[in-house]
Amino acid sequence: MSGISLKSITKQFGDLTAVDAVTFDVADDEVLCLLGPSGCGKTTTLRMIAGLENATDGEIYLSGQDMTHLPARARNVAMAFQFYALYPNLTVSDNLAYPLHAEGDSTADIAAKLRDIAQVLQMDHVLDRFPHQLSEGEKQRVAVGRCIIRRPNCFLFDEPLSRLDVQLREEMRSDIKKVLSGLSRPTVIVTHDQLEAMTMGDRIAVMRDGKVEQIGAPQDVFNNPANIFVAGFIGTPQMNLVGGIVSGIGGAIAVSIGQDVIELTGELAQPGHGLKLGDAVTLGMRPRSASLESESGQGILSGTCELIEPMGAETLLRIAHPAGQIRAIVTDRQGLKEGGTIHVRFAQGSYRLFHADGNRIGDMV
Amino acid sequence: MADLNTSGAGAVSGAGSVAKSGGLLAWLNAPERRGPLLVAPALITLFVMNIFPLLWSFGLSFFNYRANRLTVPSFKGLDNYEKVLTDPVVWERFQTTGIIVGASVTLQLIFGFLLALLFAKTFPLRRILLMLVLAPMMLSFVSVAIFFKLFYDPTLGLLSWAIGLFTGEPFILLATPAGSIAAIVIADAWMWSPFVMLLVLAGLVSVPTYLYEAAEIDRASPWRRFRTITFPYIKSLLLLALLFRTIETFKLFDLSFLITGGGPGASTETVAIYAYRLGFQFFRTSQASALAYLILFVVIVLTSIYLYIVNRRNEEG
Repeated sequence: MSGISLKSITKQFGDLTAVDAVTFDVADDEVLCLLGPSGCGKTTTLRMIAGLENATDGEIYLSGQDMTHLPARARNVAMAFQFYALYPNLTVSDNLAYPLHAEGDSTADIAAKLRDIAQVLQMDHVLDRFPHQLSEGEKQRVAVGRCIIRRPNCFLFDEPLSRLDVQLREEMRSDIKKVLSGLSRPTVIVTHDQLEAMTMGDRIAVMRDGKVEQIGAPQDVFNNPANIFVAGFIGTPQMNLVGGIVSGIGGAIAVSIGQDVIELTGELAQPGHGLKLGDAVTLGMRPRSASLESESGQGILSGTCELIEPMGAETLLRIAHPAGQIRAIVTDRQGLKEGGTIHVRFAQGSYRLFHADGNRIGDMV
Repeated sequence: MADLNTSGAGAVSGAGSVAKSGGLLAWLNAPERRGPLLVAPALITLFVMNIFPLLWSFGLSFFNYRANRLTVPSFKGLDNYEKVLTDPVVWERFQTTGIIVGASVTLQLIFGFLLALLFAKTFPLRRILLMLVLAPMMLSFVSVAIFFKLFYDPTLGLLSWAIGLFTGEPFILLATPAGSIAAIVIADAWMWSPFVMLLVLAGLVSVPTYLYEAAEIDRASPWRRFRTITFPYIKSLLLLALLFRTIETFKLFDLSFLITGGGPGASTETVAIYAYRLGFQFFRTSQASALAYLILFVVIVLTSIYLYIVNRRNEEG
C-alpha cells in the first residue's frame, strides 16, 4: 500500500490545462521532489494532494484511501507553505500547537510535543515571539515545525527554501533532510531548484507544461535524461545540446556536427534504433566530460573560444561552433585565450543521443 | 496733438500705474506665493465660518450674553459652566443621549459586522446589493428622518399596518418614551450600519488567503479560525468604527429633532437638542455655548481614549 498515489490527475482552469494526467506513487517512507520551471503545474499538483484544489479528473489515494473528493481537513495532510503562512497574531508556540487542537490532544501532550519540536529544530529561544519578530530562517523553521508536529498521512512542502539566502538554504536543506528521514512518511517537496531536488529527494519528478517528463532517482535522471527538456533542465552548467545529422550507420553511428564527425561507440553504436542516414538528431554532452585536445580530428569538436569564465577550481569555456554554442569545463586554462581556436573531445560514453522529437535514443550508462 | 499729448501723458501715468499693479500681480504670482494664494479662499472661509465662531462662542460662554437682548453682556467667569453642570436637566439629557448611543452603536456594530461577513463572500447580484445596502449612509439626515416618520406613522405607516394585521388596531410607536427611543435608535442604526460594514469589509478582504488554507490544512474549527485569524485583522477597524460612530451618535440632533421633536415629553431629547433649545428657544446663548463646550469636551475625551486603544493595538499587532 503506497503512501500517496495519483492516478491520471488533471486540473483545468478554464481553457488552461495546468496539470495534465499526472500519475505517480510515493512510497511510505519516500521523499519525492516535484521539479520544474515556474508555471509547470507542480504547485497545483501539490495543492490537489492537499485538497486545496479540486482535481478536474483523476484519482488521489492517501494511505490507500480514495480522497479525491474530500476537503483538505478530512485528508489529514501536513503542509508547509511557500510564504510560511504563519498565523501573525499567535506566538511561535501557539503557531506550532495550532494543528494539535484538532487532534484533541491534552495540554500535557501538546506541551511535550512542543518541547520535542523545539529541540529538533533548535527553536527554544523563540517560542514566545510573534512571527514578525522572527528572521526568515526562523520563520521557515516554525513553518516546518508546524508541519511535522503531528503524524499526518503525508507531508507536503511548497518551495520550502525559496525565500532563504544561499547559505541558510544549504543549512536548512540538510536539516530538513535529516528531519524527514526520521519521520518516514510519504513526502512531496515542490521546488524549482534542481540542487534542492537532487539533494533532498529520493526520487525526482521533472514536470513541464502540466506533464511529468521523467520520474526517477536523482542520479538516474541526471545520467539518463528521458528527453531534451530534462537533459537541459537538470545539471549546471547546462548540458550541451547540439543538432547533427546521422552520417554513418555501419559498425558505429556517426553524427556530423557541422564540419566535425562524432562516432558513437558502446551501446549507442548497436543497430536497431531505427536511425537512417540523414536523420536529424541532437547530441547531448555534459560540459564536465570535456577535455582539451591540441588539434582537430576524429571525435573532436573545434571552434572559437568566445568566453573564458573562471569558476574557482574550474574554468567554463564558451566555444562558438558552427552547430551552436558549446560549453566545456576544464581544470587547466593555461594557454587559452578568448578568440583562439579550441579543440575539445567529450569522453566516449558521455554522449546522449536524442531523436528529432526530443526523446532519448537507447539506454546507456 | 493735444490729444496725443494728453493720451501720451495718460499713457505715461497709466504706464506708471500698470507697472505698479503689474508689480503687485507679479508679486502675487511669484512661484513661492502661488500655493498660499490658491488655498487662501478656503482658509478664509474656514476661518470666518468655523474657527472664528468657535472661538467667539468659547468667549461667549464666559459672559451672560443673550442673543435677543441689547444689554451689554458682562463677564461671569465660570458661572455658566457651573449652572450647566448643576442643572439636573442636563444630566437627564446626557442619560438619554447615552442610552441612544449605547443601543444604536451596538446595533450598528452587530449589523455592520454581519453584513460585512455576508458581503465578503461572492454571490450573484453582490455588487447591486452592496450598492443598495450602502445607500442609507449616503442619504441626508432629513430624508432619512422623513422616511422613518412616515414608516412609523400610525395611520399611513407600514409598521402600524403590519402590526395591525395581528392586533387589529393601529400601532403608535412614538406614543411611549421607550418606543420613541427605539424609533430613533432603529433609524440611526439603519442609516449607519453600512458604514461599519465598509470598515469591517476592508479588514476581511485584507486577510491573506493562504492563512485560511493553512487553517484548513491544520483542521481548525470555524470558531477557532475566526478567533485566531479573521478577528485580529478586523479588530482595529472595529475599534475605529466604534470610535467614529460613538462620536457621531453622541452629537445626534437631526433624526431625533425631525422624527420625534425630542418627545414625547423630553424622552428623546438629546443633549445636542437641549443645547439648541437653550440657545434658540430660551435664548440663554452663553449657557448654550457652555453646554456645547461640555459636549465637545466629552467627545475629545472619548476620541483620546479610543485613539489610545487603537495605537496600542497597532503596536501590538
